[in-house]
This record gives sequence, C-alpha cells and structure tokens, in this order.
Amino acid sequence: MLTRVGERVAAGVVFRKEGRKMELKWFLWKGRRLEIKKTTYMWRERDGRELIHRFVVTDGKDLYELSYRQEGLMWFLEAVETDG
Amino acid sequence: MDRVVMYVDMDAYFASVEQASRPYLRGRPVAVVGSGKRAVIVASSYEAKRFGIKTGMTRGEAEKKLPSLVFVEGRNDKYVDTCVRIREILLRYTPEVEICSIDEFFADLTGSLLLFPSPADIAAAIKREIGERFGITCSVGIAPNKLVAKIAGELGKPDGLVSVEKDDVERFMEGLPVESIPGIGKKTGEALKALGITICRELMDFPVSVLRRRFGIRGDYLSFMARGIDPFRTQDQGGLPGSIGHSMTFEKNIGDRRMIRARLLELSGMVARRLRKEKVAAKGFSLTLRYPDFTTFTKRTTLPFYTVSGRIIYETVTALLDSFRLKDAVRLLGVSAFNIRRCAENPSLFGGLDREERLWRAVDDVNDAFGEFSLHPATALLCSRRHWVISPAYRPGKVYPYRR
Repeated sequence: MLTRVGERVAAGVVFRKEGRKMELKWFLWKGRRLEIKKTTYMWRERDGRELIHRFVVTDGKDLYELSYRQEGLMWFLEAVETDG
Repeated sequence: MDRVVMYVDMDAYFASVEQASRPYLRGRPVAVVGSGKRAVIVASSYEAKRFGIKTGMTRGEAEKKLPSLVFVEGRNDKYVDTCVRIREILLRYTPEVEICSIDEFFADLTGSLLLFPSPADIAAAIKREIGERFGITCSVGIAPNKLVAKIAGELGKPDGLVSVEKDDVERFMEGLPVESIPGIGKKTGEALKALGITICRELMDFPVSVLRRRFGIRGDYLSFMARGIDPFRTQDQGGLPGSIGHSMTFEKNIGDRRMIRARLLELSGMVARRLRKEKVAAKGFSLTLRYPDFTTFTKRTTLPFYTVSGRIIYETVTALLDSFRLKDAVRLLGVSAFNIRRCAENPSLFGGLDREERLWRAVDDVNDAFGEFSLHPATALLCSRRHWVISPAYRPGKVYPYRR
C-alpha cells in the first residue's frame, strides 16, 4: 500500500567520489532514525529548472521514496510503501 | 569492413523498472497504468503477459482476466531517465547510437570492433551492466543491418542474445513467419496468406511483379525484407516527427460541449507547446473522439499556413468538433498535429501573430523555469489535473513533453 507523505526530512548521505554517486545511509522521520539497507532505484527528473534526484530505498521492511531538491538542498520523504 | 549493427530492446521495460524499484513486485504479474479507473495498460510484466494481459486493455478488462494483477501507476521521469542512462552505457562502446523508442536502441558497432574483441562480447558487457545498474534485462540482436538485428533481438526475448552473421542472413530468415518482419501486421499477414505465403522463404521466392501488383512499391520492400535486406535508410538523421499529439481518457464521459472545448483548449496548448519546443510548425491537425462503446472517429484538416499557435490549433479543432454531430458523451479526446516542418527561431508567418507569439514565448519561459502548467489559460482550470503515462514510442533525446 502506497501512502503519500511529502514531508521534509533530515538525511545522512555519502557523496561518493567514484561515479558521482549519492548514497543514502539514513533519514529521520517521526522521531525515528531509519537505517537504509538498500537503494532499489534512483532517477532524476526536472521540475522547471530544478533538478530533483529521486531514490527508492528500503530499511529491510518497507519501501520509502525520498527526493533531493538540488536548488534548495532539501530532502523530502515523498511516500512510504508497504506490501499488501 | 562488414557492417555490424546491434539492436537492444528492454524487456517489458516499464513493468521491469517498477519491479526493480519495488522488490516485492518481482515475480508477480504487474501492469503499468495511468491514474484513474479508466486508465489503460501501457505495459505489463512477463508474469502478466502469460495470462493474456496486453497493452491497451482497460483496467477493468485486465482485472477480470487476472484478479491477482498488481496495478502500478507509471512514472514517466523514471523511464526517461533510465533510458538516457542506458544510452550513456551504449555510448561507451560506439558513438553511433540511435534511440528508436524509449526502450529500443540501435548501435552501429562497425567501427568499434577494432577496440573490442567481438560484437557478442560488447553485447554481453552491455547486458551485464544494465542488469547490475538497473536490475532489468534486455534482449540483443546482432546482424549486418538494422532489420535483421531487430528481428534477431525480438526472437531472443526475454533476456536473449541472438547473433546473425552476414553469410547466414538468408538461412536465418527463411524459416521465420512473415509476421516477424517489422511492418507486417495482421492485415498484411492475411493478405500474404491469401497468396499462399506464410514464411519468409515463400515470400522471397514469390514473383516480385505479383507482389508489386498487390501491394504497390511495398511489394518490392516485402521481397527485399524477406531476404534480410534492409531497404530503408540506415540511420535516423534527426528527422521530423510524423505527428505530435496528445489524448486524454476521462474519468467520466463528457457530454457538455463547453467542457469538451475546455479539454480541447488544454490539448491544443499541449500540442502547441511541444511544437514550439521541437522548433517545428504544423499545418495539419486532427481531432479524435471516442464514445463509451469505444467507437472512435478522427477528422483531419489542413490549414493554408504553418502554425505553432495553441489558439489557432484550438480554433481548428473546435471547428472540427462543430462538424461532428455528437451521438453520445465522449470518453476520449485527442488532438494531433501533422504535416510538420522545421521552423525558424522566430516564425513570423504573418504579422498579426507577433504579439501572440511573444505572449506564448513568455508563457513557455515561465513554464520552463517553474514547471509545466505553472502558467496556463484560465479555461483549463475547468479541467482537473491528472497523472498520465508517457507513450512507449516517445524517444528521449527529443524534447521531453510533459510531466504532471
């Protein structure tokens, strides 16, 4: 089940020097620190001139879609998805 | 040096991307749709295809056929960005990469064979990298021309690699059903069957003069293609699009002409915006209507001049609408532009439009900066915003149409 969230969150990210990659490590949501086990997919999109990086990640249980808005340097939790 | 062409076709592309990003969908029948109950299926996973789920089916039809089918709303940007990244992988092996649709590529490997051991090695490396980076599979065909490469690629689906050497082309083709040749659909297939032709061997042996009488110049092409000879141009030269169009299927049928006009205004604006983005102008426009019983009508007209103006497109298609005697409410409307030509940066076709052109240029600038539909005609407020899924025929590298 997909639940839209659209909340700004704090996130821990490693910017890898190899391959210009961003690697999400954790994010804070509802007072909890969710450790990211795996990034299952990532893509880029544009909203007008702003470049948005989108990530689908899992904590091993649920899926989370996060976005990084490059212009405002902001992270958002866009949606949470649970199977079933 | 003999020419070597590689065809790369992503397997069940949209559905595979969704399965890759949502691991719990892997192995399950998945259909990618737009939002809304009436959205049609734009792609389905192999697990769904096995149960007869096809592109173009309505959500209801598919649900009836396979109740366990999982519907996923398509994400255009995800598919476009993945396509762009796949192209980047291919470009590492050859500069001659052609995107023929969002999930199909041709790559000319002729010049690359001095740098890499063999075409099959290149194909295997590409398949491996696509698998590792995106978690999806592709089928690859390698042959001396695009036609045979495509047929070989389709034959190897899913996740296949089929290579056809120059000397083996005729042998490879002869046993294939004529429908394997791109462009031979159900109708042509039946017409050929009426002549006693079902496989390529029969088509290559058939007198060309008879084929020409039956199919015109296409008869010659059919004969060539059955032999594995590609009669068409070898590379897309950034040619003009044949048409640019948009259509909408509504949540509820619309019978009120005022609402139909509002939708036509929105569609005309979308078509005009794409014309301007592609720096082309059109003088042919068509209106398509679909009734709830799925009967579909299209009317076309050609103006005496080329235009990029949403207002002129709107006026043209509403004139077409007025020539329809609506027998029912409509479930789908579509507006298309055809008869397209390149236009100059400042296409001042006749003086009176300069002010309007400036206005639309300003609107385009605002939408470029802040996103589509940041600024739009107020009439379009009558239309609720919807999510839509990109056509698989869309080619990244061209101007990206819309996102909502």
